[in-house]
Amino acid sequence: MTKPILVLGGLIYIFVLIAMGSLNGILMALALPLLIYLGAGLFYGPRGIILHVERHLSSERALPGDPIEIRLRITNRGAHIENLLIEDQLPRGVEVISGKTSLLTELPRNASVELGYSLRAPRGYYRFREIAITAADRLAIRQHFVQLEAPGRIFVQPNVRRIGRIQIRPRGTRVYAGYIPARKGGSGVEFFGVRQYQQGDPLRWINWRASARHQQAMFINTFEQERVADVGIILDTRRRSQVHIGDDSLFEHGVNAAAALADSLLNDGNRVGLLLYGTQLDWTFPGYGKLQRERILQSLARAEPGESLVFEKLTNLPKRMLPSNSQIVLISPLHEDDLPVLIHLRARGYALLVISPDAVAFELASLDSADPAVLLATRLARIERALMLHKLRQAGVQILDWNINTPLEIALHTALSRGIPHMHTVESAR
Amino acid sequence: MKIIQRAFYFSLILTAAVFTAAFLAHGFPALSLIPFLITLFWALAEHRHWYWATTPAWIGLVLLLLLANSLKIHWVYLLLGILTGLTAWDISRWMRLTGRAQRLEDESAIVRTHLRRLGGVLLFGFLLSLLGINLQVKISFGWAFLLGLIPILALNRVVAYLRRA
Repeated sequence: MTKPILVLGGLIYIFVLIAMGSLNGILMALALPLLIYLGAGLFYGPRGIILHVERHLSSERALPGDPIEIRLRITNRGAHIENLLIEDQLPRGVEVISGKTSLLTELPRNASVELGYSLRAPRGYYRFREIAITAADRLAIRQHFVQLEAPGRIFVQPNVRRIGRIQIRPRGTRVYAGYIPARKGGSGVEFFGVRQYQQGDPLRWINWRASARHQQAMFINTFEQERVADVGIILDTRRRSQVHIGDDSLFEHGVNAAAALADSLLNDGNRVGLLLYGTQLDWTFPGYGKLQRERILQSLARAEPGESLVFEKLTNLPKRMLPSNSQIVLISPLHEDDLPVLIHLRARGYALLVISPDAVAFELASLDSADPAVLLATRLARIERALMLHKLRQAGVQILDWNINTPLEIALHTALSRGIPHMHTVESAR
Repeated sequence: MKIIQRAFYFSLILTAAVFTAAFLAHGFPALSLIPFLITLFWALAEHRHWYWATTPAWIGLVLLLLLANSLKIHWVYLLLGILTGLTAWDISRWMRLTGRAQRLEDESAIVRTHLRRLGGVLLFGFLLSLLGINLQVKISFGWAFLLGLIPILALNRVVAYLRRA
């Protein structure tokens, strides 16, 4: 029951009761306009609301800032509605750039009305669930509120920047040809070694110099095979590792980096999986090709920093999810506690590349760099970070200490062109 | 929406004027300040979008009307007061409903049909009240009680029906 009916009903009751109690005919007559007003509302009020709603989205996937057109079509399959207020309920975070999201209209039986608007949104996953409907008579006395299902979803995927080929060198590779050196002799480009000639070997591979030294044997050159590999990208979504300054966040840079890496590695034919480590484990099982790219981008669209006691440290990283001897790429600003886990991973034979957005430089941009206290704090933080990264490098972990002001492509190529560190004797941290 | 806004403020001024005139004409100058203050508060609430204040202001005016009746103020003032007050309350609620919509499909038609319905209801109520006041039939208490009981029972049924709905 709606509020106006209660108010009018209550007032009429009061008038009638006082009029009867005091035998006052004027009061009884004064209740009549209220009674007629209420009666009109009840008589013309909406009955049996049967509405059919359809939602059309111009696209289910978009890039941040791309306009998305949304159209709602509401058809009245029930009785005539004198006043119909339609309000679309927008997911949090989207911004309407044109059009209207609510409409008041009269809707006769079997008639339709359309509501259209366009919006844009930052990276994220947005779900449209219901629209709010208020049906009322002309005087809006009797109002019916209903929520009608009008589902829809939008994936606003991170911006994928094209980066060149990433030089990684995991211990294990898969059988298919690719671009990653496989530590096995065969056909390829880079010289790998010499072996005795076998029937069927191409003559142009014969190493004449080595063969001339042996009278009974012929030798051929072998080349390092290039194959595809398994790559697990781990994106750190723990809130404790993230830094926000206004609208800018280190996490968004991490997400964009993960998208760019996944795109590049999948383009090279590798089998790529994605793990979001933070609030929970969101695991996109490794796969190949464009479909996998789409899966990873959708997962990255949903990624949000969060907190969980279980995943506060990297100790609960599910190592069995990642194939042994594969390449792991961890994108994280890093925390001191993470060090033993990463060294342990390296000790288990994983090739580990850590892309660590520099939280110190990021935070310093918003502080007064002339302040002596800030300078001292920055210096201490930098020493702490340098020490941590040094320890990781010593353990054979490839590190990209990424100042986010440098484009990822340049930073990656500068860092990886130094060659892949040899694995030193590593003790497990545990 | 300007027409409907103007109609609201006009009805509010009229309500204040009717009540103030009623109290002044019957020798209650102190009381004439109350309707003025209520309508002023109502207008301010509307201007500031304090939607919670609309119904209490309207109920306040109705209670003032009951007070005026107990002070033997002429029924013409009371009838005009309740009609103008009801108009202000209706338009205020209507503006709130339309304010929720960013777009009004055929705005002029919606406003026109609303005002037409309101006008018809008020006119019918006014005529019926006039008839009720001027047509006096002598009936016994039992009949009066019975007649009084009918609207109460009817309203009771309506409330029960709406609860079920």
